[in-house]
Amino acid sequence: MIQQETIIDIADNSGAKTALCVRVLGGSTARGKYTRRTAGIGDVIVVAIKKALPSLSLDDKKVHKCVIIRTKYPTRRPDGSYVRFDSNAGVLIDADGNPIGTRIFGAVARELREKNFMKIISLASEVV
Amino acid sequence: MTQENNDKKSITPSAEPKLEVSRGFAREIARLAYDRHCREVVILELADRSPVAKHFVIGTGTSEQQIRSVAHEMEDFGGERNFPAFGRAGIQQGRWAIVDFVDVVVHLFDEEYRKFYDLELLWGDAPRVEWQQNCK
Repeated sequence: MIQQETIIDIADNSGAKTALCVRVLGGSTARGKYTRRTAGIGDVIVVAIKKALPSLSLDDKKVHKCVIIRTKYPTRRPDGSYVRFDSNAGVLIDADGNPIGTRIFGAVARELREKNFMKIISLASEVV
Repeated sequence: MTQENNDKKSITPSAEPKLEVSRGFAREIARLAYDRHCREVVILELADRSPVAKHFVIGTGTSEQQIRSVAHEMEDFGGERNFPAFGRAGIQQGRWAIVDFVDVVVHLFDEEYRKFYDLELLWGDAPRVEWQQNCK
């Protein structure tokens, strides 16, 4: 469960290593008030990059969109089982929803497929 | 109890025909892409390597509009062949379109994105399926 100010790992080869969640997208009133507090697997958040490799191709002063691929908080599946990971992690995406990196590290939850992030699933080497 | 056992036994042998059905559909999709002027069409068999799908069909489109129209045509084609599309992504942008038929996932790239993401390198150990035997 990711909320504002949560620091997450970036699990791709874009060059970013950690990022701070500045907004959870996906819920707002007609007056523009953000009502959604937490994000889970497959949700999109806005992040500020906190730690990056020198090879980072992005502007690390700007904010970017990110899809959550792993959470420590257990995610319930329709069969009654739960899946949880050791770390909170996400993948940076551009405005069109394409991943900014070309490879994704570590396991990815299969819930992303139902949320229509098949591009991320295709780049991941392991799907849980 | 015995009936349950029989049911369990019958699940295992049916996996291979299912793979064959998926392979046949992937071939048809690849031929359709080739007929619609997609280039470098490749089928990768991921059945033993990934739980995501049994086959990836990868092709390069000539333009954004062509990628969009081929993706829509594939959706219709899948519907006719009892493979309804489960998901689709990136069709509007036309640079990396995905049509997800569950067992078969179609990736249509433009040239730049195909080189950039290089899915064939990522799944380089997956065997390629021959599909050009009955082509025009």
